[in-house]
Amino acid sequence: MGERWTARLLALPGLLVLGAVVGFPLLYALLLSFTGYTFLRPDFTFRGLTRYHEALRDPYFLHALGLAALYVGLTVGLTLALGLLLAVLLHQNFPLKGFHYFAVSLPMLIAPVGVGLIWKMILHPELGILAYLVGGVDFFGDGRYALASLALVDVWQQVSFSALVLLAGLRSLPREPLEAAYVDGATPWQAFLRVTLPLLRPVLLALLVLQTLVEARTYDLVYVLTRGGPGSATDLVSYYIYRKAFLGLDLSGASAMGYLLLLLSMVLVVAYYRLLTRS
Amino acid sequence: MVDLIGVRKRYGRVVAVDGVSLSVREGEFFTLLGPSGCGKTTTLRLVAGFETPDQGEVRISGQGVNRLPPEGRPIGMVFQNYALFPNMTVFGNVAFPLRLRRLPERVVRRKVGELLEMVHLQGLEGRYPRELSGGQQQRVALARALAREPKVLLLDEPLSALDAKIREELRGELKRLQRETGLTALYVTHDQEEALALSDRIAVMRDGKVEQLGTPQEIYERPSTLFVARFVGIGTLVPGEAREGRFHRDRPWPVQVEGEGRGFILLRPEQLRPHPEGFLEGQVGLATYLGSLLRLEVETEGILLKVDLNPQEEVRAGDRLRLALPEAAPFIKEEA
Repeated sequence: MGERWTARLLALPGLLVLGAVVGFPLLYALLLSFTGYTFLRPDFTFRGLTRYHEALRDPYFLHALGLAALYVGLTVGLTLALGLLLAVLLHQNFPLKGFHYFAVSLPMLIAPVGVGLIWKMILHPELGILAYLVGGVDFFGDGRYALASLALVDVWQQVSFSALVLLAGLRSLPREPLEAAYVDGATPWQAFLRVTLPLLRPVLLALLVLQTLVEARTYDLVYVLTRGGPGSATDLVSYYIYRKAFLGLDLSGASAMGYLLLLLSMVLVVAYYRLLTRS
Repeated sequence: MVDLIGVRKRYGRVVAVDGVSLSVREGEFFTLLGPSGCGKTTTLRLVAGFETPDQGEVRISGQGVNRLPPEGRPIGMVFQNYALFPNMTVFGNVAFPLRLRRLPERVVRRKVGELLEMVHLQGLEGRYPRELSGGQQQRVALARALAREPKVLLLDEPLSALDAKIREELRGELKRLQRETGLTALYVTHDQEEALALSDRIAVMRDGKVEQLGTPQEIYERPSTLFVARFVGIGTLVPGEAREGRFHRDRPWPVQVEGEGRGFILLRPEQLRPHPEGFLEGQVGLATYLGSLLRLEVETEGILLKVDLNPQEEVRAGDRLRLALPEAAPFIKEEA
């Protein structure tokens, strides 16, 4: 047997598992999205793009999609900005650097559900320390604050990943252009804005892609903290799709929505990728 | 113009610069020459302000600058790897220091035009660094360094990333530009040929210290230590003794020397000539054709002498040859 066939044979078990775990649900959902299948009426009759049309006319889905766009903008923007700030700070020389690395990377090591539970307690309107300090604000119960509070908890967790990636980016930058900028008369701030930041652009764009995809799929924090409420204030699209499938029992409708979300994400990724390759 | 007074810099246990004192005169092309790790780049970085001395003082135009950041010093700098801003065009790179000074845009345009003309890059203003050759990139870096009208131009091995032909071409231009602008240049290189060709004075560095400081002629013709003799130029160090103004091995050689005691004379390949009545007789071990010359390795009296001949000479490995010695040669005393 040739080397190539041996390699294929060795890869086969992994590919089979991957196919079963990832490929099958994807394909099954795609097929379902072209039917009218619900848990109450398991009907596999082919209905073309009907469920897609219905999804695009569904005001709740469109609301969830809009909310997700707002949420993604908020969380990704804050995550990148704070991550960059932390990375720049960690890039300086100061004592106990190792401890600070550990502290910054800690949120990344906790599962999102754990993060949700921790912050649920911190922000609890009666028992939470933060709610107590700011005068009994109901962070997740008040529609005015719920989405922002959810976003802040999410940012708290995601920022460590961004900070570490950007720190790696900062460390890999050549030293000379920055030094040249200083010699040319730039202040540290000018050098950062006009040299460091443009040099970091590929890392920032890659992070933008990753974080957008992560935030567009936010589900676990919503589940633990707000269940989409109050009202539909935090009903992000992933959670809405989950509700559609497992509370509304409309599996084909949820599948069509899922695929629309996937399509949107792919458009975004391609747009980012173009930006990335141009830089 | 640039004075280093007892400057010392260490990184942990490593002493990178060990009490260096030297003065670079106004308008001078001064080179720090030495092998990797000798402290020459650290010395340059101390002048630039990227490093702060642990001891001693750096002065520019008589002013102590130890506490001044790089942006506060009257310097321009050219780096080994060009250090151009990849996100800016040639114009943007050269205009960078001018725009930082908030000069009116028409002044910026005029100055950039002049600088690009000076480095022969007119017409390439709109290109990005990745669209230029190494030599062109280094010219842009040079124009950018000059844009700030510095008093001192620092050059950190600016030609070492270029191929030989471009290196030589740019070397000539560097010298011309420095002469035309009257700038004081502090140049760092490990390439002794480059140092000899460009410099008014050279400081040869070793282990963080200045081993010898002098004009290129002094360094080449009268090296004061074995290290300098070995590092600068090609030659053969012949061990022996200096006595009553002459060099002795097992017999007196017809070579005048200064000094007394045991040591070495340095015989450069171009000083040795084949002569029918030459003092030394030896056998050619190796004859290498180098284009402009023929380099021989001649074995005589237990020494391997390098001899440069006209490439037209018909000498082959295995030939016997008599060699005439120079009347005088530098004598370097044996180091303790």
